[in-house]
Amino acid sequence: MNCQEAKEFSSEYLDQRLPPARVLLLEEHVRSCSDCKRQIEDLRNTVSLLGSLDRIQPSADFLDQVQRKIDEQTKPWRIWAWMFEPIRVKVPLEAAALILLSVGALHLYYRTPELSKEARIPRPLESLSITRDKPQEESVGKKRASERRNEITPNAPPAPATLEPQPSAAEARKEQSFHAQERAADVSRKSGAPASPRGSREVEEKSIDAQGRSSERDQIAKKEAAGLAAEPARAARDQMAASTKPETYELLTDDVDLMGAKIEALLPTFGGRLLTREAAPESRVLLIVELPEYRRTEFLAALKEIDTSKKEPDQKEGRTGGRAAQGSAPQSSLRTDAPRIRLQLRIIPNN
Amino acid sequence: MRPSSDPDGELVQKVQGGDRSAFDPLVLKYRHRIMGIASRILGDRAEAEDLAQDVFVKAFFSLKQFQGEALFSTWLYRITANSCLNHRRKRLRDLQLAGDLGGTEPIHGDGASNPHMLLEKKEFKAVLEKTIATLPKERRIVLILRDIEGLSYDDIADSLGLELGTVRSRLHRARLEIQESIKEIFSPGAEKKDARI
Repeated sequence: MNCQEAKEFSSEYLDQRLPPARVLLLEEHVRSCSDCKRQIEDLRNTVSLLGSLDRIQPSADFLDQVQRKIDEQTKPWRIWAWMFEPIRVKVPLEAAALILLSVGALHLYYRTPELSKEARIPRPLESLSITRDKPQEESVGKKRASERRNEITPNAPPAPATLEPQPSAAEARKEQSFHAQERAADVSRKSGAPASPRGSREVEEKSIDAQGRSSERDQIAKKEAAGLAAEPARAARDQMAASTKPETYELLTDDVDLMGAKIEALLPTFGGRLLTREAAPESRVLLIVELPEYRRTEFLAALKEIDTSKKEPDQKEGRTGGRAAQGSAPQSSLRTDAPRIRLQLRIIPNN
Repeated sequence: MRPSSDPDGELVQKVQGGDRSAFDPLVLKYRHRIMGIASRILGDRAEAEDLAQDVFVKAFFSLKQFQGEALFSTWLYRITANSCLNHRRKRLRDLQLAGDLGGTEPIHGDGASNPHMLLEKKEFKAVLEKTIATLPKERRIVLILRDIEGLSYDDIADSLGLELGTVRSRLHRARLEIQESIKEIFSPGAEKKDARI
């Protein structure tokens, strides 16, 4: 081995990586070459010095810093993993839960009429008008008087309800029947006793008829009274309805009295009742009615259908059965727990 | 296939299984070595510490891909070497301390002093560190891994993706350069001989 080779293999010799044969050759050469010997010694010292250098110490919070950096990179994925992993298990379960919730919500929505109705966008009633033949959506001002029949318009702003204590319809009917009886008695007295059989019979018929009507009215009044007594919750509901301002609508009609009678007959069909009826100037009639709020739209739609152009036979006799109106009004079961509203209907003659 | 002799194999498997706390012992075990490599390659302690932390973070997220084809330590050194060598190449050129210092100022010894005693002098240590920093990076990293961190030739070859002959050659050249720089300390006034092969 020569000096060049000896120097070339010196590092490996120091690191004990030379094969045994070369080690022997190098050591033999070094024994005879002082220069190479010195080179190897210098190299040995150099390596020794390098190995003795101070170990560089990391900062005390090195581990914490590493953990913090790992956290910063894993946080979004942790949330993802918590929500969706294992994917084969969680994703189908979450999808099924979402579907069930959606079905349940839709089921509740369609099963609850109030929700459905509240979700509907109400049509502005001032754009509707009622005519005898077909509804027309024209403003009141633009219509001719002859065309303004059975026109219903909401009055804006709604007039304050005139809820002065008025005798109820039942009481009014009682009073009317009493007066009818009084009149029958007067007639018989004035005509003397006994009046002619025919006259007396007429009087009796009138009296009996009046009594029949009064008894019929009494029955209605009793039913109403029974209804009031049987539904204590209704009182609270009525109180709530009374505390709010009633919505006011104006109805143009040819026959104010007939319209009023038909409305009165129509109300029970929608679970409503007449609260007050009072005469107003210019041959107007003011009705204050109360009915379930969710039936309002139907009731107002039914008002549009009221035809006052011809009098029903029962209307001429003064009965307030309202059978024609009943035939056109949709029949549905009443919900006793529904909130109620009050409407103020001004019936205005179509002059 | 994981080498059966990997002393870190059990911890690595735990981390791969989702036990994050098993990574802490690995950080504590190798932080000095990684810090030393990064510090001597980059020449800036603060930068080196930041890079060393990033090395462990990279290792944590890459462990799922680690198949055990090499020792964990070798794999970690590979990440370290690549990170260091890729980090701020321009800054590494700026750290040519030979030019900045106007040449390495040799510390003159009396020739009879024990070199190891000289290491106790902070000035000598600083000069030696700076001398290491002047080496070309390819030789510097081999020298650091072998003579400072004590890795074997095979580990160095695996970590850096080099042939054994390349490791041997670069190491020998790096040692000779260091030797030349501190030759005056051992034998002042001695002629500088071209020992480079």
